Amino acid sequence: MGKFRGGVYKLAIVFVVPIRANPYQSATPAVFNFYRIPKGIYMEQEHYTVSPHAMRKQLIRDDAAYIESVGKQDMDDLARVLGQADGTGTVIRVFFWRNPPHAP
Amino acid sequence: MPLRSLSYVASAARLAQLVPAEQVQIVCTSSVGEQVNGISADESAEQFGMLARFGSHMLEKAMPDTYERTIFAHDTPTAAVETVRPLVDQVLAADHRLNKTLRDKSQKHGSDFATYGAAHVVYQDTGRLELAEIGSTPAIDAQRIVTIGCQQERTFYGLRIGVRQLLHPEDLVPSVQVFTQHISPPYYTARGGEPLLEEAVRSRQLIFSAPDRAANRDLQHLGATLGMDGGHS
Repeated sequence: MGKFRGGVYKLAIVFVVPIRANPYQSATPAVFNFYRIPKGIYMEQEHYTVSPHAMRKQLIRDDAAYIESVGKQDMDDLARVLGQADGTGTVIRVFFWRNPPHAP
Repeated sequence: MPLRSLSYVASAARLAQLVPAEQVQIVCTSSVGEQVNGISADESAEQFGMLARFGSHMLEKAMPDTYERTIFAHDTPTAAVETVRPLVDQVLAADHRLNKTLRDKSQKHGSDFATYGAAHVVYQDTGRLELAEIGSTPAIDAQRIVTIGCQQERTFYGLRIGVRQLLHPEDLVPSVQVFTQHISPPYYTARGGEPLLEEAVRSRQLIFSAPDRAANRDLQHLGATLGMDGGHS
């Protein structure tokens, strides 16, 4: 609390730092989750509890999938894929671009 | 068709267990291959049909949950490829390094890489690809596309990023590229030879080793996926 000293009232300035739960590993599904994506915008996503970045790490760690990396430009689209949590309308495609095969 | 082509199918199926997806679409680009590379569509259909039979069998046994939502299909001609092609030329004119890389690949394989690049964009970043299914399960319309491909897809990925920026956002669907650890596409026969699917079918013997180191690693991964070290099937 401030007090008078020579006619000057000193104010205590309090900085309030907002603390929020880690958005990347929310234990309970939220109706809306807001994730910060690389381009610096906020996206509104529904019903997913793992961030695209956490999913990217999970995919690369999964030995059975034999995955090396995920396209760096695609993280916001990965968020959209995860946002459709039941997978409706999402396809996974693998292409056999040259068939029948020949020596490289 | 190399035996390790089945490991491409296995990677896609595993991805479908990790990422929410309605359908896995294993696509043979026989239409664009015939147009660009002069590949025989009949021969292509025969080879891919064999992959479809044994790929389905593998999924049914090893990954039954994904088997039910996996289809094998051929691409069909689409005018969108020709529409996108000038944008590919535009990107390549601005990116000399990418242009040289694709040109070198093209000279090696004798193909029209700009049209090939346009097909990559249309098939992976738009909802314009219509599929001719092998089997009775219809292909669903893609509203979001997760493509899984080998290391050599990186070059085309660079091209796609450039072209995506030139396309109208309404023409694009959300698309994600996932790269596997396959160095050489598993539909190419590795230098020094490697076990072929045809031979495995004929001899009923699975051999998960090859002289080429990268192909050998792919085969060992396939063996691990199937829970086998090799031997009679």
